[in-house]
Amino acid sequence: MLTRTFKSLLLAALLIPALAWATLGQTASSVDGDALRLQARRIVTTSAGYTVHELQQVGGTVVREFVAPGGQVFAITWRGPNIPDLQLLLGPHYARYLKAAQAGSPSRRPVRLNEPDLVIGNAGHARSFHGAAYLPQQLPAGFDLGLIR
Amino acid sequence: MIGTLRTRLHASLLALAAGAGLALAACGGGGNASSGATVAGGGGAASACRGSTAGNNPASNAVYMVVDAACGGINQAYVTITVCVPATNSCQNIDHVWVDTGSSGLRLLASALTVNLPLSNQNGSALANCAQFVSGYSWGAMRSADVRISGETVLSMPVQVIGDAAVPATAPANCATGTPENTATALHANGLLGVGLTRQDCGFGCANAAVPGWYYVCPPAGCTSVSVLQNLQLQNFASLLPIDNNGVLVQLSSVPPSGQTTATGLLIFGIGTQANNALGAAQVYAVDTNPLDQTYLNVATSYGGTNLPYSFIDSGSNGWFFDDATLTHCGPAQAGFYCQAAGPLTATMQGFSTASSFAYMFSIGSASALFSSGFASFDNLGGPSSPAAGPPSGTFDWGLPFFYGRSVFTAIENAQVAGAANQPGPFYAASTP
Repeated sequence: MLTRTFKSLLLAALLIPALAWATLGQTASSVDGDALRLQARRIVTTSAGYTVHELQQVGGTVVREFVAPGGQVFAITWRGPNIPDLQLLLGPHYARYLKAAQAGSPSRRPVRLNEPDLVIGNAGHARSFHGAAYLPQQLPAGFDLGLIR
Repeated sequence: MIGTLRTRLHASLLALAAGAGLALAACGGGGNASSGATVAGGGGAASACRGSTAGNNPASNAVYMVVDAACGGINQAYVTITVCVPATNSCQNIDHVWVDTGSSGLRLLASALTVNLPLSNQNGSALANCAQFVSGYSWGAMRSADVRISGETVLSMPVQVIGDAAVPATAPANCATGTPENTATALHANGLLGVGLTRQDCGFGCANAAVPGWYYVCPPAGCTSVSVLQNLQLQNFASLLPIDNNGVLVQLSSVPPSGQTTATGLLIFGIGTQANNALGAAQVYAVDTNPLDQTYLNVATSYGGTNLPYSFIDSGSNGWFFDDATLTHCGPAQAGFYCQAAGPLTATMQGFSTASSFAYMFSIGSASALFSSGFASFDNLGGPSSPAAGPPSGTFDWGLPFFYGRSVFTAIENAQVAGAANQPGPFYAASTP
């Protein structure tokens, strides 16, 4: 039964053309060049003050992009069996993620970056990862951080 | 549903064992199997680790395990394994292979290999594999090997060779998340023995689609994702054993609050299959088995009144990783850890959708003080899971510190376990307290 459900999901993913993956801090409409790099099924939900684009990647990893009314991506979350392409999703911010992952003593541990203009976290284990990144200074007015999930 | 990869235990097994100077005892039998193993090339020509991790193996399904600082790591438990070119007597021992119950598949550093393992090809080019860990990744080619650990053998097993010159040195961007762990120096090990909850590293998903982040072929034009049959993917060594194939038991000695130079223990194959691996009174913690759930392969944990649904036990995590706003974070030198002694603290592990739970007590030491000792094993090393200002991770990572002084079982998906009433794998089980 699980297998059948999984197949349905894969089928759905294949039926819908590849869509853009936006980069944190850039506009959702400016990244069509990335469109062919990843196959994903997209679900868009609009709430007061922001829109969420949920991208279901083949294989099961889900990326959610939070887009402000002006079109800018101010937060991204991910979860699933593997970590999505963070170089693509974080764009120019990826270098700071890498630095945070490498900081300090040798260890395998969650990745954390907690700075005034950028917050990133990644936790989990093989086949079950969870992470989020957002730009604190670019959140829509009154935005509840608890909604980033 | 799971593709089977049945290995044959044929006559060459005995030849292999003889070539390695190992006694191959019958299942469940005794014998100091690997003590004084004499296979050439132990550790490889360019090992970044010093010394041996071989020791007394008290049974054919048990291998001596040690936590030491020989590779520059902390809270990393290692075993010695033997790999051979399939169906030959060309074998070597590899020491300091890191035991990871948080992943599945055997991964070896190219720098530690002296035998020439045959490459796995697909679509006319070398097959490559990516391992994503929470803070880093490993990239390399797929090869095959006969693998023996204590008296347990799997023939022609797919393995990843990290840093293998047969594939491009640079991993594809959709693999490369975080710290490159492509050398023994970066991995703090000569290899990684993933004996986790699953039978393959990726499983069904990668057999049915070319999923970015797992398997690739690398023709001259560049690497692209490919689907790979389940039996050609990386395999959980334990799952392929003839008898002791339903999981592993990890037992480590206790360490004092100030830490210890080394700690020793056993990695035991099988659960309830031999006299040395009975579940006994261990508490069983079911994990979520639905791959479509956010909480797939996790248990729950209650800490400080908060329910953390993405929790897991993982010998490959160096500490207790959980959020506690009252604890002081370390500065840059020990980034990612707590630098304040605290405890005793209580965390309650809870099986997924079951009533099984137990409240474990533990303590946290200041990482700056612990690290200054130069020791390798600490049962009180911990750190946060989420950025202080970010959304909570919902995770309690029961890393290697949890294993000291306990028996911790990791049961493989769809495996039957004697003594676990109506509870097939995957699950964790652990002694109490």
